[in-house]
Amino acid sequence: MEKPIGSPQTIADFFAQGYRVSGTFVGGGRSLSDLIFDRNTDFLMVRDAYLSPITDPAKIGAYYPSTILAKAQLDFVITLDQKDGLRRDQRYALGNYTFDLCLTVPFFEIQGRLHTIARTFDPRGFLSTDAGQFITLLDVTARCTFNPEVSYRGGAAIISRAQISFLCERPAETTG
Amino acid sequence: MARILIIDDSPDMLAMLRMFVERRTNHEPLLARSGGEGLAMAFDKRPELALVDVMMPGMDGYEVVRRLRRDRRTEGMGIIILTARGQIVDEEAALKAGADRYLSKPVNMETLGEAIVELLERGGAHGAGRTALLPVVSLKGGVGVTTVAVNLAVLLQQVGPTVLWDLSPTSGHTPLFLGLHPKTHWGLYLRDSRQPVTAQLQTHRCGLRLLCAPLVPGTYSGFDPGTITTVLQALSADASFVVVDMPPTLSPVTAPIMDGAERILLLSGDDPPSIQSTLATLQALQSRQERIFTIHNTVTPEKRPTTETLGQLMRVRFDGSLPYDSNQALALGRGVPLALAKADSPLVLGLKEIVQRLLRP
Repeated sequence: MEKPIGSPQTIADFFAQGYRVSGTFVGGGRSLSDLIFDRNTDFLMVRDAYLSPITDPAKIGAYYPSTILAKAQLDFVITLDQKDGLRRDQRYALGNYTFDLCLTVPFFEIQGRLHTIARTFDPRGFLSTDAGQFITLLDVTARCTFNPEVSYRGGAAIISRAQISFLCERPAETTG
Repeated sequence: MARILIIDDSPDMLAMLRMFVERRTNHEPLLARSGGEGLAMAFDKRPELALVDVMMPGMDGYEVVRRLRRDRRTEGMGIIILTARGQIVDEEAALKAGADRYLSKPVNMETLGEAIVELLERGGAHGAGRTALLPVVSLKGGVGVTTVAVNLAVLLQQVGPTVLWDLSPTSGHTPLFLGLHPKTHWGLYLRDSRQPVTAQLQTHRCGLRLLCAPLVPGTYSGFDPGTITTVLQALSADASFVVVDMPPTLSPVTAPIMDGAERILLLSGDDPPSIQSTLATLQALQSRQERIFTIHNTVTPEKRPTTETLGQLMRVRFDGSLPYDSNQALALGRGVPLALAKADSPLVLGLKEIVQRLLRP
């Protein structure tokens, strides 16, 4: 298969406070996920940032060649390619147990798959005692609260734990 | 070999796509680094296809696509949106803006190649249903502009839905040729544009739709270029051909018609005033030279110079020639277009040849 045409950089959709920012992540050699999970940095650099309101996400309202994003205010980030949303350690091994989760952050309902090493899933414990400001879900769909027809899909989403209001495990789908 | 316009603000992407277009598709790439530059190039060079990035400073790709689709010169071209914004909403926005295809970056070369081939083969998704605008013009009266426009429109109606627009500012005569009464006309639209201009169309029994000119000249305010464009868009909506019976003048008001014309049918007689007007028109329309279709129309029964002789004399290459036809006066008197009244008459046969040439790709 031939090599695709396009930038090898990570382009992601960042969501915060009702805005969608599409841009190229500048990590100086580190992956987007590694930098988001890094507790020693409070900001992310995004190059060629295109700003859209989430109510009209295809409308490009503004362009900024270089932008700083405050990690504390970030609701979530979606990457189309799953590997762009995984930390270095996750790229080697994801947890053996998976749980389909549904959660809400401001303006969005997000569904995705959590990989963990724990056999059982305890939502309360997951939110209160687990380490890290962010969580990673795979094969994600984020649906806009105001307009459920507007949805975003991606290989991975990195979600701010502090912004989560509701969290639940989705029951397995049944047929018949 | 087709011309493929690549609009992308990233020099790396431009270089890669250029190489791809040149080496893999064997077409000619045209490169633009911004939406504005791309639009100017598209209007000037009229490429068959455009690859448009979405995220560009200044004018974004969606706006570029919308403007390409709005302009008659580029409305039918194939457009592929290439973007790193890979969400469903982005695909919907791209298609809504008027793109034929949406591909998210990084783009698989095979997929891109297939999309290019497919769109070029069908002449763009809009190409299949594209409306051909055909103004018929002469700066000198009495050379048969209305006769040619009416009969041409009747013949084209046999090929596909056609609208004839009588743009005469002074009591247009097209209804007479078709046996219709100008009950509705564009003057009423100019007076009150709350109703669409298509509400003013009349339909001839052959299916040809006619937008008449007001019967009494000077009673309605004139057109401006914006209104001309709006009317053209409305008339083109479900027509394969729009034939315009042009007034004997060239002005900025009618420029959108000349700019958007598939072919400009320039009629010339062989009398000195007509020769002078034809040469002056060719000079005035020099920038649209490629699209001018020059026709020698003989309107008197006396022996006249042949088209070849006239061409040599004027140093003009005539694309078509129409003989004098006495049946035309009879057909006009009966209010039946000659193309329907006597389909094998010399003038109609000459027009049929012209139609065949116009329809050739």
